[in-house]
Order: sequence, then structure tokens, then C-alpha cells
Amino acid sequence: MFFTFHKLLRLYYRMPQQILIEENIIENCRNGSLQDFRKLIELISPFAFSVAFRILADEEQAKDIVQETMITLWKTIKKIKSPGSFMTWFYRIVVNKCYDQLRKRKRNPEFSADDGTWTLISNKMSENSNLEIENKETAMMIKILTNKLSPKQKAVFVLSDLEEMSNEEVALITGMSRINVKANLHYARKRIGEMIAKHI
Amino acid sequence: MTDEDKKYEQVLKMLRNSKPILTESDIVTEKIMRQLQEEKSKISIPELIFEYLFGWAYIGWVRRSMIAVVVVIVVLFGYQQALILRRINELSGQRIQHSSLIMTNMQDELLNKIQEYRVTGWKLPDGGKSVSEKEINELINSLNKLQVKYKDLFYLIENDPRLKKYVETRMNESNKTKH
Repeated sequence: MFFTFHKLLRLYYRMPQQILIEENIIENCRNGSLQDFRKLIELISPFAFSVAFRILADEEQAKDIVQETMITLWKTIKKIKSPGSFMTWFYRIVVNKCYDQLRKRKRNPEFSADDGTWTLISNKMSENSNLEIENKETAMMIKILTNKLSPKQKAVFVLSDLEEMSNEEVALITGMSRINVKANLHYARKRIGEMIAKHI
Repeated sequence: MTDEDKKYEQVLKMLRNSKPILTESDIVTEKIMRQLQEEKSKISIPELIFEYLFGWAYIGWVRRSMIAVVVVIVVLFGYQQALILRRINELSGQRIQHSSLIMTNMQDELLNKIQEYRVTGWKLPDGGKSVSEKEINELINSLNKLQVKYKDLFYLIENDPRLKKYVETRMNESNKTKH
């Protein structure tokens, strides 16, 4: 009984997804335990993938981002000031890696808007909005909706509207001020709204 | 809510519900672990030594203490600099006073008065006024020349009894008119 209570005290959570990670795991990782790091990867990689996938709209690139994030996390985990700020630190790495990827992509633009994707969105909307969509289709939809947004606007839109984080959390992750977050989010929503109104 | 807003909300809801799924997560984990193992085996001896020697810098309380010490040192440094600057200012003021005192000893009373007048403007030197060395040298030279001429004149009067008598008479007359 005491052990369970003690263990519960040592648990902490942050962010809307309420990822529960034992403080011990992070502490052991800081001390160089690869075994505990494996546990940590299994716990947090789906969240890294979700954010990276929604920002980049590309499954393979998102997987690469997950790998790179975990490697960076292992190298820098000792620098985390307090375990309480772990998730912010983790998401910050993911978002920064995504920025790098988007910058590379900007040099080699490959995307062109496709009418088929708009038809797909319309069809899915008329079917049932509660229906889950496959990764590939989601990627196409996000790509077409966020195509005209800047990397910062994409990140803010994904974290706020899709990952459902508060403005304060988004500000901490992206390093922007709360006003900047609000401004970027407003612009992103406006742009996406305009595109939806135009095509659907 | 407008029709556009409804559509936007619908799309957003659809995207929120379709949470991306990380397929083959085991493979991804294995790849990461393999890469980490490789990197761990790659760590060179200098890196290990560095880690052993300076690894403590990552400990939170050590870092915080070091920051506190640095702040104290910087404050002390600033305080000392302020003290030194104040002392320098005091000393530079004293230098002017001393130099004028040295001149006083070297020259006669008239020179003292002129010098004091030029240097302080009949005010006590407080370190705020400064006179260039060139100006003081010019003043001393002109006074020296004047003194030499005065001595020559005095010597001539002393050696010529007629002239001496004439000067004495004139001086007596002058004193009488003053009284």
C-alpha cells in the first residue's frame, strides 16, 4: 500500500495527453541506463510521431524525426533542469527537428495542390467526421490545408488545434511569446478557413 | 456560427480524431537503440575523461551554486573598480595641490601669489581646476628674467653713489607723499 502511494507520488504528468512517466525512469536515463531509455522511447515516441507527422504531413519523414529526436534526447537528457520540464523539452526537440526538415523542403518544393484531395475531404466530411482516417489520407489532407502556412504557423496550428495544447504550453515549446502564438494561430486558422471555404 | 466555421470545425474534428499511428514502432525503437549502442561504443577516451572531470557541471545544485558565486564575484569586482576610481580621482586632485606647494617653495613671495592666482583664481584648489605644465613654465621663465633684470638694476644703483643718492632721495619723497 505504502509502495503504491509512494510510487504515485513520484509520478508526474504534463500536456493534454497526460503522459505518465515515472520520475525514476528519467533519473535512470540521466544516469546512463539504456534499458530505461528503451522504456521511455516506447512511452513517448507515439507523441513525437503524432506531432511530427501532423507538421510534416509525411509518414516516413515523421519516423526519421522520431529517431533523431530520441538520439538528441539521449545526448541532452542530462541538461534537463528538472524532470517536471521534461515533456516541454521533448516537444521542443521534435518541433525544432520539424523546422529543420521544413527548411530543407523549402529549398526543394515538391508539393502541388491536387483537386482529388479536396474531393476526398468533402467525401469524408459527408460520410462521418468521427470516422478514423488512414495515415496516408490524413497526410494528404494536412498537406493541402497547411501548404500555404509558414513553419511557425504550422507548428502552432498543430500543437494548439490538433494536439489540443494550451497557448502557454505552445509558447513554452516553440519559444514564442503568448501573443505571438495567438497571432500565428489566428493567421493559420484564417488561411485554412479560407481554403476550406474556397474548395469545399 | 457561420457555414464556413462549421466546415472548419468539421475538418478539425476529423483531423483530431484521426490520430497518426506509429506503425512498426518496434522497428523504430530497435533502430534507435542500435544507433545509441553504436554511438556509445564510439565514445573516445578523451570524451570519457572530459565526462569524468566535468560531468559534475550538469548537476543542478552545482550549477546554481556556481552561478551564485559568479554573481558575487562580479558584484565584488564592480565595487572594487568603483573604489579604485574614487581613489584615483582623489589622488589626481592631490597632485595639483602638491605641485603648487613645490613651486611655492622654489619661488619668492611674488611668484607664489601670481602662481596661486593663476592656478586657483584666488580659490583653494579642490582638484577641479587644472593648469597646463607649459603655462606654468612660461610664467616661471618670465619671472626669472624679471628677477635677473631687477638684480642688474640693483647692482648698478649700488655701484654708482650719485645714482644711489638720487634714488634714495626720490624714494624718501615718494614715502613722504604716501604718508
